[in-house]
Amino acid sequence: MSQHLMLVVDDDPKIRAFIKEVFPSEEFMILEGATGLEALAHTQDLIPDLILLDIHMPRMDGLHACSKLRERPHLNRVPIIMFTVDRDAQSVSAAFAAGADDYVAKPFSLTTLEEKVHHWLSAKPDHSPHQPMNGKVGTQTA
Amino acid sequence: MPAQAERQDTELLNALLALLPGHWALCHRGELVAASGSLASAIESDDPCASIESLVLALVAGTDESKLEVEEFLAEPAEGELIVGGEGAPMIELSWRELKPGWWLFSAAPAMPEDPGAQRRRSLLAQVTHDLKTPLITMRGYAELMMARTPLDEQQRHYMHNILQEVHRQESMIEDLLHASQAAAGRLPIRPEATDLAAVLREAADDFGARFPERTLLLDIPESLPVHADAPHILEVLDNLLNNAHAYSAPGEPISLKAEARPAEVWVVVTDRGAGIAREEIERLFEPFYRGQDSPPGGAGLGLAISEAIVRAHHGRIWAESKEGHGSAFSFTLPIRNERS
Repeated sequence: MSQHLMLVVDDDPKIRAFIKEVFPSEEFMILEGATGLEALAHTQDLIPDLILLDIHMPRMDGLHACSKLRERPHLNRVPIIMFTVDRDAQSVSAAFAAGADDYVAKPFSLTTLEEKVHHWLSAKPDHSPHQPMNGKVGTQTA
Repeated sequence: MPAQAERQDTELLNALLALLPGHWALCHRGELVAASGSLASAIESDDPCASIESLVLALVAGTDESKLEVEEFLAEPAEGELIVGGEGAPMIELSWRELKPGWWLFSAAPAMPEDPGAQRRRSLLAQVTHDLKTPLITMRGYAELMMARTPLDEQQRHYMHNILQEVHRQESMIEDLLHASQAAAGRLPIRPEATDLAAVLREAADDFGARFPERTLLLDIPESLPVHADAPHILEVLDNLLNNAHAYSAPGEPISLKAEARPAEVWVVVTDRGAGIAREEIERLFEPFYRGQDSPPGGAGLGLAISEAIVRAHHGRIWAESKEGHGSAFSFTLPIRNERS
């Protein structure tokens, strides 16, 4: 079975290391980024199978990075899952507004994280502009 | 009502309203009933609130032009605030509230400029809270990984469970600190919307059951309870009250959560059969950082203060009743959702 290529963007190296523990290296090749800028740099020529993106990062935060990623046509079918703040409905709606397909609230629930990643690895979104809903796949919560 | 009596009432109302700071208008079903004297004279002067007066009058006149503004301002919630002006024009804070169906109170006052350090302090606080919570994320993560992916015997599982509980407690304390600061600054981010409180209560009960499976929680909740509330914040209040009831009850004693709809409000009560609270302590319970004589160790003593701030931000009431040796009941009310005809 081929590996899934996953880009994990979070300014905390401990969180990135944790995510690498959660998703075994037999199944996942994990690329890391610490800022929104690095997320953009990694995806210049590369199309990951999935992007995990934190909201709060220095130099370019996740929301800004997400909208910039969504401007790139070659990433139209790449699901983006954002890390939001628990019990903060605003961070969730901001994530969707920026073009995210789904979110996982921090602190993580291990099962939620695993389920959402596996779900989006098979359910490819389509963010190409000609889509009637403009690529807004996934449930939007207030 | 005889015409003369009506006139006297209006004059009295006008006189009363004139005593209040700022500009006020009281409206009943689209008609301006009374306005502060300063409001009336503001129309004629260059007073910055003059434009607000015309806005208010337009709102209550119900002309076609103002209908859009009426929709916008009065749709939901049943009360609100708006800062108008700025960019050269004076900043005015306009607020409105439906006192009872059909009766609206508007007030306009110059908006206080924010103390320049406040914005910086708020982002500093947000940053610190974020940084304090970050290690807890991986702590919880690795604990869950251990539970899910490594073979653990019963004792190891028990130890990990305790670690997870303490991580959760730390997360809560940090949240509490952030909220208490926000409440103290009058900036609790409450966003009420149409909610079924019964569903929120059931969620709180489920959360509680998952945290404390050994405690019996008796429920007495109607099928549905429409209210106007910020559900996540009300959940916080319920978590706090249920945790307290649990902490102060002896093992084996049940606690209960009951709610009922009343004419203008919904009433919720959490009851325990613990040792009860001394009269002199009840008065101080809701003070920030107050911890009674029998408080369990840990916890910053902020839970009730924050709960009070949240309930009051909803225009509800919260109070405690207790009988030493018999137990306590913590109640709060929330205004019922506005069914505008």
